[in-house]
Amino acid sequence: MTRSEQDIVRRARAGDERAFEELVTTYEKKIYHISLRYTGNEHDAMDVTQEVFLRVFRFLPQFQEESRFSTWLYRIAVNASLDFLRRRSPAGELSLDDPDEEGLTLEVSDPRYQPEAQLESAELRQAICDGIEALPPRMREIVILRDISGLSYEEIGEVLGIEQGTVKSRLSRARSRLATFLTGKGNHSRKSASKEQLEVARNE
Amino acid sequence: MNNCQDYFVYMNQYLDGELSQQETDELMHHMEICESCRRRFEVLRRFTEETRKLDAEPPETLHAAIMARIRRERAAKRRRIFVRLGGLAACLALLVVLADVASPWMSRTGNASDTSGATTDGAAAPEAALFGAEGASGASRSVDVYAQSAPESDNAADSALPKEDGGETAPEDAVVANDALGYDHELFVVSGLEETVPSAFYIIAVGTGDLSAAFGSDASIEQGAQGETCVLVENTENAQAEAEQTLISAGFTVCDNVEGLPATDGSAETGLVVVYEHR
Repeated sequence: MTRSEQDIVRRARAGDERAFEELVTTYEKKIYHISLRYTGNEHDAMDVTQEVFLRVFRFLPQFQEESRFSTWLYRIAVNASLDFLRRRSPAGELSLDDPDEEGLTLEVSDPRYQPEAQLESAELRQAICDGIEALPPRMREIVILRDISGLSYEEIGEVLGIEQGTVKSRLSRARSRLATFLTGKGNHSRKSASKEQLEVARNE
Repeated sequence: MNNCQDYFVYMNQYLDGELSQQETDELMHHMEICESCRRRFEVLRRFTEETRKLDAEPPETLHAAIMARIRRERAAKRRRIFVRLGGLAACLALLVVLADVASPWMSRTGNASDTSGATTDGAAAPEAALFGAEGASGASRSVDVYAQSAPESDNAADSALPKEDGGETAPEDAVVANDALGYDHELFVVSGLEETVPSAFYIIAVGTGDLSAAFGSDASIEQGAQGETCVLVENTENAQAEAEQTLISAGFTVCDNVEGLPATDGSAETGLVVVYEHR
């Protein structure tokens, strides 16, 4: 955290609303983006973003100045998004992890064709958004923190409270899942897609 | 020996800039001889690249929505604090009054009723209760006094009791709840008002308006560190009451329930008016 951000945080903690607003301005777009990819729609992302800054406001007195503000903020964002999902899904139905924790599925590409190459960038990006939304929450958040928020493995570990080895393996599994989903999508658009591969895509 | 699963993890690390040079060499070498891995790498590289290009422009209303929520929370917090500290604040107010026996504070309620044509009995009475004889024994009923003296925010004061999400029922913060005389009796906490030389009195007000027009173009007006505006007022006999009237006439709201003020020195040459913008 830069010295100036440390000052802003300190002033915000002391009740300076202007300083707090500076923090909001600095981070609101980033938090919104995280929430958007997490919840999948703008309206919910708005709600979650407001909730995040509300929690920052309430718990700022408990924030320890030695640690990085952004780490703490992202942790709140992840928790708030998860809480939102829990409230949104019927009781008990939200499973956080991939039930198939073990294997990495490497059925990423069929030698016969490369469907992902068929998709235009815009189409691909939409498919990626759908794919991220289809991931179980723990996988979803790690892809978001890495590729949407640009956090390093170390920062991700701090935010999620996990070791870097876990970051590495969870991220790999998440991307493998995504890749399978995407190639399934690509298959979907081709008439010659095999029934098996469509089945895989639907079960994601 | 590494298998393709291990190399897949390497691929991910590589794309995240988290692969050592040695491991990178191993990966590249492996991909030269393994076509499946080469294909997997291409897929991974492509969609990771696209994911990183994703952007999301938030709705224009986001910032305002966030700040509005914070302000409601802040107001709810303030009401919770003063309801709990009601007794303590009443004692403080009493100390200020007793310390400045000759100060216009005591005669202020009289002046206010005299000069303001819009006086209602309801509005004048609580002020007398606060600063008059009843105030001395009023510590235990201070919560009631505050509820009475803030007519617009009455419901909010009551409903702010122990509710956690008092923010949902709080009135709009954009407008300060002032009574018919132009005074706001809700607790106003001043932070960071540092004075090396004590002033004869302090007046805290909120609002937006033309202070130089109100106090005269040669008035001593300064910007404070936190965006507040300060006006130095010569300490003459009726200076405080007149300054308050000036503020009210110019459309400001005078806060007469203020915590966090520095000590005053009745013999000082100047009094200080501090104006905060509407919140």
